[in-house]
Amino acid sequence: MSETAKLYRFFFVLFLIGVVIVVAGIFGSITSALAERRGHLRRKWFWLGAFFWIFAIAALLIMKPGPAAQTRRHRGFQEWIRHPFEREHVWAEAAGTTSRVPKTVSVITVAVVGFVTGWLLIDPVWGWTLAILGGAGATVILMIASVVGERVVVDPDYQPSERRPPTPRRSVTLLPSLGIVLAGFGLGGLAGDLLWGIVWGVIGGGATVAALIVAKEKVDYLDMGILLAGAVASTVLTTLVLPGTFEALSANLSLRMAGAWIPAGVAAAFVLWRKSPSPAKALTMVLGWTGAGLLALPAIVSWDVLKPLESTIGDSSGLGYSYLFIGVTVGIMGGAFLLSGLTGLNVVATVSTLAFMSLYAGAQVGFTIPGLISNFSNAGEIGKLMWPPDFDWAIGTGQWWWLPSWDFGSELRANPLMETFRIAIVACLIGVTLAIPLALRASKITAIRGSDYWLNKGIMNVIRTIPDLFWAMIFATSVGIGPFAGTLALIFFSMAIMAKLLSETVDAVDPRPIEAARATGSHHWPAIRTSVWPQVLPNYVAYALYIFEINIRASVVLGIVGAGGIGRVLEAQRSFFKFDRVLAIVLVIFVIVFLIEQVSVALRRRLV
Amino acid sequence: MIEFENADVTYPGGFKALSNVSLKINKGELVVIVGLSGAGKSTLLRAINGFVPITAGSVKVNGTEVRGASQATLRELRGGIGMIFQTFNLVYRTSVINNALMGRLSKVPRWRSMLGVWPAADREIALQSLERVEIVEKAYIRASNLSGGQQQRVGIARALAQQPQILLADEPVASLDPVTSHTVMRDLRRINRDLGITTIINLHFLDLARSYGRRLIGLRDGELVYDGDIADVDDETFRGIYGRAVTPDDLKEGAEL
Repeated sequence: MSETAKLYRFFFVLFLIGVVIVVAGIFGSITSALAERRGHLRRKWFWLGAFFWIFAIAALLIMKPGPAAQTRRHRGFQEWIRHPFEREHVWAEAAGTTSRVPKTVSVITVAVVGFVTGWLLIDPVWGWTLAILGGAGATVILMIASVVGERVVVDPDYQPSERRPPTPRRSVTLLPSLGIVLAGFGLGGLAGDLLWGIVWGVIGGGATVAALIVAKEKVDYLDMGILLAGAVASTVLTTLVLPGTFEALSANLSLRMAGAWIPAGVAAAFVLWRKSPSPAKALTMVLGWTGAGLLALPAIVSWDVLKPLESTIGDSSGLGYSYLFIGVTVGIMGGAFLLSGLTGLNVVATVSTLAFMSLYAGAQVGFTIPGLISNFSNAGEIGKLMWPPDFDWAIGTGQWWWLPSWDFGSELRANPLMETFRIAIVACLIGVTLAIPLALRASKITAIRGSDYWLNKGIMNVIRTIPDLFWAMIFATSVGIGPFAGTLALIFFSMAIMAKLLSETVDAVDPRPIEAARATGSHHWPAIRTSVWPQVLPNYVAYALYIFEINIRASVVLGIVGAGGIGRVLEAQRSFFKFDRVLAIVLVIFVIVFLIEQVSVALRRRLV
Repeated sequence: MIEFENADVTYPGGFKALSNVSLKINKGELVVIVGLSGAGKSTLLRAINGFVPITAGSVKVNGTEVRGASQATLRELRGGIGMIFQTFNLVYRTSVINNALMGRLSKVPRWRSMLGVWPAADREIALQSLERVEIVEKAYIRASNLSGGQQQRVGIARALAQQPQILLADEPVASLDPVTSHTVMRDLRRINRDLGITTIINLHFLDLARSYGRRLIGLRDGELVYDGDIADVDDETFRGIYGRAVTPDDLKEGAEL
């Protein structure tokens, strides 16, 4: 008797037991209904019976030998039931193939049976529970059956060559150990027992450190340096050249200014063309100069800093010096474009464009340097209220992260700050995991078919357009105010970011290995798993860490709309004008967020 | 056994890549297909495993009709057909053995390949196929760290791990230097002899075709213009296939024919 047949027999017996229990349960419920008693005990019987039933049906479905169609055509149901006991020789053939019923069909059937059973016999919640349990159980049985059914096809007389290297010990990779850290904190948090979180975290953290030492991967600083330079330059420029609003400014004037700079653009394009004839670069040049002219006017004319300068000099028209500044600005920006075209330094072009965009945007929202200076006196008033920060209140007496010392909550409730981080951890883990299938199906390279791509792309875009605070509001209204709502909100938030980032990374992978994997006769997802996943895995982990950082920051704010965490406390203290407490909380958050980011950035550097 | 009967391939743009090709390749044969670029060599090869659907006629592999076959049939068919690519098509961010294990994808349960929990037997098969192309000592090294010739050998090992009946090699040496080309071609010939795997190789270079082939198939503008023993091939035949005299460019080593 083959192993599979033994398993089959085992599950068949299980099925019979299930039938007996369910029948007993039905009888019990009828009698208890007749007696008008609440049949709690009977319900347990139902549950037990249904459970057996589901597993047994799963087993029978999955492990039915031979091609299903043939079985149905040539033998009746009774034969099929008797099959494992009487027709063992068939099993020898079928041992490797297990079932021809599509495995997804088996799992879904079992889940549906579980759902219907639970719903009919108990209630919808049990229906869902049994569906999930049944589906999971069927999957496990499938896996067991496939392991049992494996046929070893290796030549037993084969002599391995001496050049064969020893099997390396499975190195501790970053992903599992990081998963352990996060899962440890998350589970500890969910269970309300921080000690477990710490224990898990320490174990996982140790593993992570070990993995990092083992990995020793090189860090490429170039990309980061370029990004940083761009960011710093645009930030500096934005801060230095902040304009105010200029109400009398007209589009007509602006367009004329732009038009005036077209010759400069053409000239620059011409110079460039002589160096290397590239239509794209020439066009960039013209657009660059024109754009500089277009944007310079609203930016410079409305630059409030000039006003006091002009009044001291005595220029009442208010535009004389402005024209000078327009000229200088456009000259610098146009020169930057020219330089970028000549040297091929796209960074220069990018920085100048960004500077102009921020200039204009700043003008439109009234973000000006004089405004800043005048408002700083008010900030000073708040500063007096803030100082000294009330650390005694915020941190408590040495047990701040364990026992709550807030005005909110009780001793039974964890510290809101910890709650914030737990929300971030759990949401990141779940969201980032859920994003994988979404992202893979929202990329043209890995989607099953065109319709699949458009559907998932659509879902992804819809989720992505909704901001985190709005998610928090939705869930705070639908599941009630508290950390659960915040967690749900951040799950969607993280899923959206990860799906977008990952699907774009997948778009850029080398597609040739996929062809190779398909040529081996693989199913779609195993082919993707083996050919695409290794290519995107380092990026995926880096994104996950990045999303964790974002989540930490986002979860601080979420409390303001009632989604749990520190934000609620912060908002309450602010509305009471307890600015010393607010500052204390902000400082504590700052330190923790800073530490977490440092760790995360260090980890990400080692990955990509 | 592979049978083409009046097979046509017309691409969506209207380009006719194969027209009225009929040929029969028996089990265990080593066949070399030559022809200019665009003559339909790759199309012919990809018609065998269904990557390129034929638009008329029929292609049968071991008695199974490829034309209009269902996805499940195609997967089963491809499971028995190994394929080797000009650009190797390896996954460079993972180890050599993981690349070789891709050849086992059609043989292991899906959950195993999804989780990366390969059965010991399949790992053994992958290692044996690496041994056959003498690259086993690199098994746990990242594929990106190998030279071109070594990468192509991993590509061959991946195909061998399928334990195929048919091996399709699409310009396997076009991106390799002459010395490495000979090594790879010797490997392919040895595999064909030792394991009896039907091997079909697309080649651009005549000297390699002559040194390693047994049966030669010549394609010109999608039509079968020569099919016969390579020993009977002379310059006139090549002129028929190429439509011009043979030049040093047609030889891997650039020497006179």
